Amino acid sequence: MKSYLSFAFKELQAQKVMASLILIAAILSSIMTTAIGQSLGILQTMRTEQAASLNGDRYATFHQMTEEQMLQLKNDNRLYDVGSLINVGYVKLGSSSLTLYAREYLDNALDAYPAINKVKKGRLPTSPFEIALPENALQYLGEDIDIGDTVELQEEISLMNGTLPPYSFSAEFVICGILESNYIGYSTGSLDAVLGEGTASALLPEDYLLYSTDFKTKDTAQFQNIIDKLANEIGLEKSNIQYNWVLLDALGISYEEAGTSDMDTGFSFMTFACIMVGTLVLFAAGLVIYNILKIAVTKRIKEYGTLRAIGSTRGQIYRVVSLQLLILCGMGIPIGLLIGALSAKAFLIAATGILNPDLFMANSTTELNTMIGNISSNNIRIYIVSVAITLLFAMLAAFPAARYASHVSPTVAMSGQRVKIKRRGRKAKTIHSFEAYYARLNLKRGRSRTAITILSLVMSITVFVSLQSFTSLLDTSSDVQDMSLGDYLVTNETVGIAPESIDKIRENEMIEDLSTTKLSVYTQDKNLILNCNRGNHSKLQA
Amino acid sequence: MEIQVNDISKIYGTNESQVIALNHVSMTIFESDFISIMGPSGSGKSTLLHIISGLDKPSSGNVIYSSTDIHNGNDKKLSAFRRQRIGFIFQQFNLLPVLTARENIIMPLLLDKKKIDEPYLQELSSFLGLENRLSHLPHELSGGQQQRVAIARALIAKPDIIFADEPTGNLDSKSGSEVMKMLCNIREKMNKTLVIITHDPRIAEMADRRFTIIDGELAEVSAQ
Repeated sequence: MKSYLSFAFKELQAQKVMASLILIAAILSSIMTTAIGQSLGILQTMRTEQAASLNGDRYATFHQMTEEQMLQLKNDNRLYDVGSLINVGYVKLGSSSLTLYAREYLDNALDAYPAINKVKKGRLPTSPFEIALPENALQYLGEDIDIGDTVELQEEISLMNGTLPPYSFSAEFVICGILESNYIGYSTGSLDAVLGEGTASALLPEDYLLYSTDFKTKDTAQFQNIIDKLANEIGLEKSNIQYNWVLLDALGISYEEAGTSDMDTGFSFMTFACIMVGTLVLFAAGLVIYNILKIAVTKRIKEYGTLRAIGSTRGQIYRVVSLQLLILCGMGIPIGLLIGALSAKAFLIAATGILNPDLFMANSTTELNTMIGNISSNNIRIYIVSVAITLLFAMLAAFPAARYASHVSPTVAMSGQRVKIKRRGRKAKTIHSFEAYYARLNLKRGRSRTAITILSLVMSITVFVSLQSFTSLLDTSSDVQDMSLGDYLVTNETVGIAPESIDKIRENEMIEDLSTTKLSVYTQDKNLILNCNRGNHSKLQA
Repeated sequence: MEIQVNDISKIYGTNESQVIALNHVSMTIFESDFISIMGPSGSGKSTLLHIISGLDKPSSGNVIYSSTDIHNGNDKKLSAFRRQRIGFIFQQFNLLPVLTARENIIMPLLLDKKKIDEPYLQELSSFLGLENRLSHLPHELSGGQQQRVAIARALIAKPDIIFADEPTGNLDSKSGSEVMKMLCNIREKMNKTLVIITHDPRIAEMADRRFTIIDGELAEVSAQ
């Protein structure tokens, strides 16, 4: 034995039941913190990845810019991932409500749109008048068209500032690739076609050749400031700034037009559920550790008294007791980390599997599970935080016992602990049942201990009930429906839906719930001044 | 070394339930003294020992140990004082059951982060007849052997004074007298001060200076 601290280890060896119980509590709580930490990490990564892939990996886009303005942005050192595109024109697709937007992406600008640039067949265009079309647009453009075929598109382009009338033109394009369809096309009514570089300058008059530039800011805290400064510097109107709110919300970057969105319902619900269950489990484990350690220390209080009598300081006793817990945590936490890390994905797949995958911006549960599976969850920071939280709770739980041991009077070593009882109500009463009477007195003599015992019972029941109601919540299809994006989607992107119409729909007794999405719609008044109106985009549930 | 106990009182409780355990007690302990304090249960002898040895604080009065008031300092100082200057022998032996005899003996040194003086440990254990018992756990030893381990533990840090609280109270008469014999031998050989509390008159008579305590009042019986 080299140090008095070895005493802690020998004590543990001698008290196997106590040690095993605390070890189990440490393992369980670290499994919980790790699994939850990992799940939260996965959810956050998934949310960001999904947001970036569905709505573009960009923070904001400046529209309707001249080449000069575009180049200014491209060379700005406050920005990165800067990519520009030119809107060449749009085509209404037959009788559908879909619009096909043909765009020319400069350099690597298309990289920011993983949802668009998935080539199913062929390749992306490389030279002027080559086009890659989304698969679901093909049926509207002719029968059995395929790679190598030529399509003629009647396109139109208009400027947002309305200083010029819309420009219409017709052009022939050679199909070089077919792009995978994504369901956003149907929900927003727009499909994207990619044109080869050089097409825009060949087709459009100079006045209509305007650029849109996507970018990210290096400093996210100053995001809005940078946007405002940039717009000011290059002389861009506010109405030409588009915020990618899906990604900004996911990353928690604050911006001017921030509102509440229901795109993150699934993520925030899961996050809340994870944190709640985790906290309850940690509390329950903490109470178990507190109770067991306090009992163990009380049983051995004479030994601590002896140590005090032969000259140990309070700090040394405190360290001996804390070390016992630290040793158990040292054994339990790695096991918990391992099990937690291994089970995090399964845990998340099980929990999210019962929810509508729409809530996680995924097409299907299978896709959602693949997404979860693909995310690398070995974030070292999460492990460190999990260990820190578990240790913090364990040490807090051990504190009363360690304090009790370190404050024991050394005279206890000689004379034993004096029992002090505060008892009110000492009048002689008829005792009907001695067992019941004595049990009641015993509960009363340690009021705080009794309170803690009751609290730990309540906690265990709360954990059980909350887990139970959590799963039943997930099981109830009606509750899931409440959170789904809706049974029906009504879109009218040209004129929007008037508030009166929405009220009318809401009054209909067949409508259970209605939610609206606001889109920015620009209208022009008689003096050709642009006004930005909030249009409507409704979702219904019958 | 000299310990001056100046007019100490110890009062437990307040008002109606007040108990005076020590009533203005004074005494002086000189180097190499062998003192016995005898008294019936509840007379205050244990309280007196606790206060002189720094385990407990007096309600009034002070204990001056080589010109230092031992109770006038923080817990760290008092713990260091107990660790380095004082050895304890308890009635119940109070060995730590999870530690071997050897580990129990060296505990005061470990607490003090001192190196173990192996030859001294050998000397002590051979003197106390513990050479072959050092790797035993307390429950594997007889009562007498356990008390001898406790004596070794009290001596390992080479303290000036040994306090023994009824050291034979838990032993049969044979082991008891063996232990007492060893204690006396050691005291003479190592020139230690020994203060012993007992209610056994035979043990009390072995001391050079004998005190009695009744109802918190101390009196010296005779000075030899």
